Amino acid sequence: MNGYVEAGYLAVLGVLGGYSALLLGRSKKLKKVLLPVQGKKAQDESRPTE
Amino acid sequence: MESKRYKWTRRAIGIVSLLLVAATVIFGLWITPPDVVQGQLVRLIYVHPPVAWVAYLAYGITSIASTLYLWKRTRNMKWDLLAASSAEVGVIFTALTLVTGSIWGRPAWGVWWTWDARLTTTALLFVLYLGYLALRRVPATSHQRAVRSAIAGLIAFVDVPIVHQSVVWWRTLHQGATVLNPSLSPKIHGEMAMTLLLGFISFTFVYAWMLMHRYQIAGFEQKILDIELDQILEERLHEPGMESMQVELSPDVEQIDRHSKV
Repeated sequence: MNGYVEAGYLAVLGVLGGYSALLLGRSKKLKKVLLPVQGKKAQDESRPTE
Repeated sequence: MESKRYKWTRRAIGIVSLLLVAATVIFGLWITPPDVVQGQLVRLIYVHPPVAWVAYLAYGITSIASTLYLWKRTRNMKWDLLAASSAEVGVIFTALTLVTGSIWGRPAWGVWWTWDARLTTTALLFVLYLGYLALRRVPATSHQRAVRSAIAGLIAFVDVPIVHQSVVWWRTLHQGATVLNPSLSPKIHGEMAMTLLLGFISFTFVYAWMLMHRYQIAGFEQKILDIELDQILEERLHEPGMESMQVELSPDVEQIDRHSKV
């Protein structure tokens, strides 16, 4: 083709791929942070109060 | 955390998006013929208008969600999070619109950028929603942030119809609308029209997948913020001499908690 077309497709696929990877990574990281906290919270709530 | 059904729906949308984007690339680069006037450059048409359409759609969702937050009967923090998530995805697609447009403009017009009405209003749209995202980072309570950004989101959306109509209202270098033109008669046919339609569908699926992920992240971030706030309040209330403050603080704490419920 002429270089410009390939550059356009590369930009679209690169940016969308990069942003998707960023979203997946962040989601995984936050899930890891939240899981133990929520588990601890549920444990505290189920513990009988004095 | 999230229902299994939601998880599977999102996964299915992700897989469909991947397949559709792959099909768009194959059709766009290899199967469709070159154009009589534009030659190979026409291939950029299969990605440029679809990413611009997704940007419009994303900002439309932001506006609807913002309105639902501002309206007291439907006020819920989930609308604010949805508005913000959609705006962020919209900014990515607006940036892609500008980049692919610029790459097309260089060989077609001889310049990477010109202060044409369509280009200028699109650049303004990009800056307006970047401002919206910046405004969300200004320290405030969840409710204050939601109200401010909902108003900003609605004001910014005024630019969307201006961008679309710019090629009709002003004499521009940018070509007129190929599909959604005033006469509603598409100026593209056959394989080319099918590939363009495929592009619109595939990038809409990509947007849906991204929005679902970004919205989930926004919910996680809000939960972490709530937990941190709870911990800070707990620590402060147990400091010596703060016992008397517990009664006074309670209504505010309840209010913050109510506003930040997702």
